[in-house]
Amino acid sequence: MDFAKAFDEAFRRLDVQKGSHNFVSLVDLRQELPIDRQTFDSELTNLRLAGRYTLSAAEGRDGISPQEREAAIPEGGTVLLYVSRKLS
Amino acid sequence: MTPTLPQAGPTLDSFCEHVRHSNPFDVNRVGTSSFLAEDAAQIHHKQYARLLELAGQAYHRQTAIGALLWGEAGVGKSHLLSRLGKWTQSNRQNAVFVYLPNLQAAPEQLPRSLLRSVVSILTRGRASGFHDTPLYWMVNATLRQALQDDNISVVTVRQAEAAYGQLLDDLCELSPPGAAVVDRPAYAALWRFFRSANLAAFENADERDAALAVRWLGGDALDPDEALALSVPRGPRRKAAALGDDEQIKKVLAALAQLAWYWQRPLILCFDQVDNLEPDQLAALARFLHALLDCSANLLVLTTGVRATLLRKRAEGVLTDSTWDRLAQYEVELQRVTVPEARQIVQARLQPFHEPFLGLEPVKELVQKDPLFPLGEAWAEEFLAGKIDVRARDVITWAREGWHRQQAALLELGGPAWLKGGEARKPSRGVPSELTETAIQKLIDDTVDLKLREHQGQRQREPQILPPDAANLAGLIHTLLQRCLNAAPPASLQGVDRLVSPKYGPRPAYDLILKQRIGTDGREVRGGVLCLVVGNRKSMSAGLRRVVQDPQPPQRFFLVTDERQPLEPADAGRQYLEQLRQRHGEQFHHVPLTFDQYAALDALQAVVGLARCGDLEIELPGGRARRVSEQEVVESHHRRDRFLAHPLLRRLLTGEGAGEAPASPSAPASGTKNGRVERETCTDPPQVR
Repeated sequence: MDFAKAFDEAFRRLDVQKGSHNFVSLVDLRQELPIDRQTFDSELTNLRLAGRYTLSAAEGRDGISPQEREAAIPEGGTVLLYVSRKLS
Repeated sequence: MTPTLPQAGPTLDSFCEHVRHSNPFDVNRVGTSSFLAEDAAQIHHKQYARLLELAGQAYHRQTAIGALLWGEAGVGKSHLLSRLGKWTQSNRQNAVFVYLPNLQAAPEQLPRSLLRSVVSILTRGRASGFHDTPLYWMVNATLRQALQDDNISVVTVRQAEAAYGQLLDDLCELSPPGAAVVDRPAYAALWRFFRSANLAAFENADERDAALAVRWLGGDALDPDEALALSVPRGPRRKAAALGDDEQIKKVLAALAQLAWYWQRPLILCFDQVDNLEPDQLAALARFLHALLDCSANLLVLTTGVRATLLRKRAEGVLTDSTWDRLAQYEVELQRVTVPEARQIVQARLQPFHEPFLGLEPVKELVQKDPLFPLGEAWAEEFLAGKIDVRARDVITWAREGWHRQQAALLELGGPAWLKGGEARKPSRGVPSELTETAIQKLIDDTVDLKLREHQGQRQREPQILPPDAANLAGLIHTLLQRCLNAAPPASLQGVDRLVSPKYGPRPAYDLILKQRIGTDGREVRGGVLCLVVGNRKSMSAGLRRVVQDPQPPQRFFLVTDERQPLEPADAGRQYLEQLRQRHGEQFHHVPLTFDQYAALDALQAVVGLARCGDLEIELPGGRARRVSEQEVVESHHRRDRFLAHPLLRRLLTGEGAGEAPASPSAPASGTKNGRVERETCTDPPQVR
């Protein structure tokens, strides 16, 4: 499976569904790409290193659901939940 | 932070002292209105350029644009706004920039409160001396346009007025669809403002009309004689005259945007952290801004917030699709910075720190060898290596931690050894220790204290951002009191209700009704709170009269005023006041708020708002950041008795002065003597809720 290609497609599809704000939750992306977590996280890291995507934290005054917490990636003391295409 | 320059010439000793006693990374969040001198201009440059482009577009195309600047907390939104603010104020003031943080008025009063803030900012919060304020310059430029004149310096008042009138006619004709929003009374008030301010500045005349115009344009009511003097529409039945409704408020704002166009600058209304607002406030503000955008030209409405929160508000229906589409016509997204960008941020703050000492050869060499000195590459290795992208705020937090370590190393080694030793200067990483819950609480308390001081300081520097405004004040008190319901003694507040002003018909006598349990028997006592912040004596009297005429008055009465609009009612009002004093006895509380006390209230809520938006963090050992929640700030306020320490809140929260409260004071009898007002003499019929 070409992860990068599959990820691009899933991201594009979900982003359009959500209003094209360049802001897609890892909950949705993990559902769209049913591969094991370790592979998913590691491949996503590669895309980030390549400067194609960036993550942002789960936040907001209403907190996050257990499902979101599960899907998020802990990093540097925070949980990263949302994926955006990296702006050039 | 701008380093304090050594008084004598720089020496190595003074450099070391400087390192020890200051830290260029102490400020990690740009204040609402302070513009940092140190700025890595290349960071988020595209987004910044986009904002400038949108402002330019609003001006050149004479259109109104809604833009949303969003991203996660700590990513640099406020910093970018600060940069924009700095640009607007540079050289020839490139734009009319109005920064509106922390709006607290109730939803139905938000538009008026917003207008009041805008006019206050455009007149620099002044009550006189208007001739060097942006509002004056805007009307001045409009007149120049009207006179089609760049060089003539002297014209008669009659010529100017005629030309101004002609300009308005042309404005109506040129844009037929917009003619309905060319509000002649507003433009007339602006003309009178200018004429009065001009005569005051150059012919030493009094500035009364200008002050009246500012009040009226800001949404305040004028007495009938004041309205007559200013030639604005008078209120019905000799009532005070004010902008009638949101429609008129919108038209005044549209007029201000138009005047800014004649001044050849876009008007930028900037609403920072709108996700901090309650849903009903956000909905009301968004609706109003949508309507404003639809009828204005030369306007950029810039809103900022955390993206996840704002999208949730939209999904929940707080923001309708059409309003969203208008306010977020353009989305400007801020993302995390890359590691090289993180280094640029650090260097931008180090550079001005290094600058005064670069004449010292050893310092110059160290900086040339390692531009991150004194943090050094070792710092970068520890905090940035292995990271992909980071929040700008984290970078500053880590740099501050690195600086603290250098300060410790400097203290331990002494200046000469510290300057010499590469490795010696490299602080040991150590394993960051975990803090106890008590230590974390103390850290939160100290951080909140710091933020409160910062916020109050900003308000004191720029009081025009917090104009005298009853609606804002009442909203603020309501919000703060809600945080104190059922708090431990001596607080005794059981409930607080905000009374909503109906769209039509009489206003309620009080802004808030409190329920308290007071005394050893814990009896329930009601209290009414009226924020009487008005600039005219008629409205002042009317406000007091409504309380006098309340048929079921609460046992306690709190009259809150603002020192900038002191309690100076007309004769009738003084008599109402006396009646209220007699009716409530010891339960009558007049609290004249000083500006500092108002700013302290504002700060208490603003810091809660910071936490609500995810913008308040504490720094744990090792440079780790931990977000502070809204609830934790409220708990901190209680722990440090900040609510009770405030003189107004203390009175409202406790039974202080409740003494021998009558079970229920009776309404004043009508037709009494000894200075009391007879109801029959009132101008308006009694208003009963």
